[in-house]
Amino acid sequence: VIERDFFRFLARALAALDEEAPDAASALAHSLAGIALEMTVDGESRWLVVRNGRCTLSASGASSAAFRSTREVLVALLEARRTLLDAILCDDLVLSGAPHAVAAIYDAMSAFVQGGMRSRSIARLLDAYLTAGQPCSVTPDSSHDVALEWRTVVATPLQHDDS
Amino acid sequence: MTGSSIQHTIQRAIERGGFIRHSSCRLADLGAHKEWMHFALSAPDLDVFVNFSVMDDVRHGASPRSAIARLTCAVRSDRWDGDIDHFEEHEVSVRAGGMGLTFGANYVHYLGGSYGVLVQLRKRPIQIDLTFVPVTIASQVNNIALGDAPPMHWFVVPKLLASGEVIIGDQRFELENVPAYHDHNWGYFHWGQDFAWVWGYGHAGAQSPWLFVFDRLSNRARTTDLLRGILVWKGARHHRLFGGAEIQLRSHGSMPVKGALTLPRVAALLRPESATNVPASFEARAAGGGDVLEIEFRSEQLCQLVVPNDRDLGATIVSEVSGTLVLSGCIHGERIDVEGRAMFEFLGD
Repeated sequence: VIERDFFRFLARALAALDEEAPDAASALAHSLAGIALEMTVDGESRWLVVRNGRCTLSASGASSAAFRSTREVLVALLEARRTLLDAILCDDLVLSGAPHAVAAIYDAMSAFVQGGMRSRSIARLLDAYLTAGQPCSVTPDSSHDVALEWRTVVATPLQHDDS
Repeated sequence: MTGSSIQHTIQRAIERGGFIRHSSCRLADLGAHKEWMHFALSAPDLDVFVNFSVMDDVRHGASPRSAIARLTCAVRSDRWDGDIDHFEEHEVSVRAGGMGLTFGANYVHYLGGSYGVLVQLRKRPIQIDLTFVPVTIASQVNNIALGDAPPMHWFVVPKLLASGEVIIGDQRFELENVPAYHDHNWGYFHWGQDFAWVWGYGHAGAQSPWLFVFDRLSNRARTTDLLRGILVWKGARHHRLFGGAEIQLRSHGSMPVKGALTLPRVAALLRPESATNVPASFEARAAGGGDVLEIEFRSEQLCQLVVPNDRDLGATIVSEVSGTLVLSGCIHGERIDVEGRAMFEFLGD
């Protein structure tokens, strides 16, 4: 299963969070209370808002803070190939809003990640999102044998004084 | 004692202490049984650790007797790589009283006096096929109190010789009798409880008979120690135990997180550019009864595991650190002055 669309991934992950990691879902909603976050990924926008104590995505709305990035950058962050600081300093990830709102968005992201690490379904959803667009498996197979670099790590056994 | 009889003793100790306990019977429905088998080795150009764990599933909505089977593996050549793979119930074979675990295509087994470990990570280009031959008599530390929870137990084989193959992407390492370490832990406790630990092992060169295992258990804030110990082996045999009052510790600096591997990778978002709780160097001095042992460990390579706390939204950080070791002192009138490699684990916030 692959899922290329970030917002479909996010909507399903938010639903899974409600079901499987309610403490994280509550913390996420608590962090974003009063903030309407306009999220733009690859030019497409959705609004993340809190309604009735739950985070939901909507197709339109007013914005009090904004997040802008691309799938490429998000995947690099999720796979830890880049850091948040690096992405922000390079303008590859833009967060805008009042300082308290930006801090709240970071708290919300932390709650989302913490919940994701506790949810059975989000791991699968994340795999599907990360896998989309990958050209091939990275698992080594026998066809790599010819190109392998051989190195040897050798140590001599202990000399036992018992023997 | 002859070589064959010491080998027999080594095997017997493993067969009597190294078997799987498993959460076959819940302790007053506590539901937080955890058990893992850990293998590690550290050489200048290669670090490896493999951890097979089975834990009661205490997550929200989990069915009462469900468990989480998790394989954590990280290797370091010019840089770290690794992953945490999870397995469904039908992929897992674990039997209380048995000596092995099978998770999908991965396994630990104990056969003919040696451990076989096979790992094939699903999403990273890492394969490990190693045989670990124990060369020291195992030690078991029982009833390690973790605050108000039931105790945990620690079965340690401080030195084994690893032979076989490790493949990391397009690099293949052939290992022959590389000093390694194994332990097996079990107990009922929750991640995130009020405890932290530092443990480590050191092998003082391939030709030296000296090796040690270090353990410090404290409260989470590391302001109160619950347990300190340094177990020293000479050759196959346990040679000296230094207890808490005999041990002084000193650490210097902080190891930078830059260049470290965080697993699961997504958890790196939780610790952006932060300093670690891993010292750049670490010293332990034990003295008592006319014996002295000094351990100087210099941190070189860092891999961090982020384990979700069971009862709150925080995480427990397990830092696996390899580095160089200088071991000196005098035990039972015998001078020790050797260098080698060590691996330490720092667990806490």
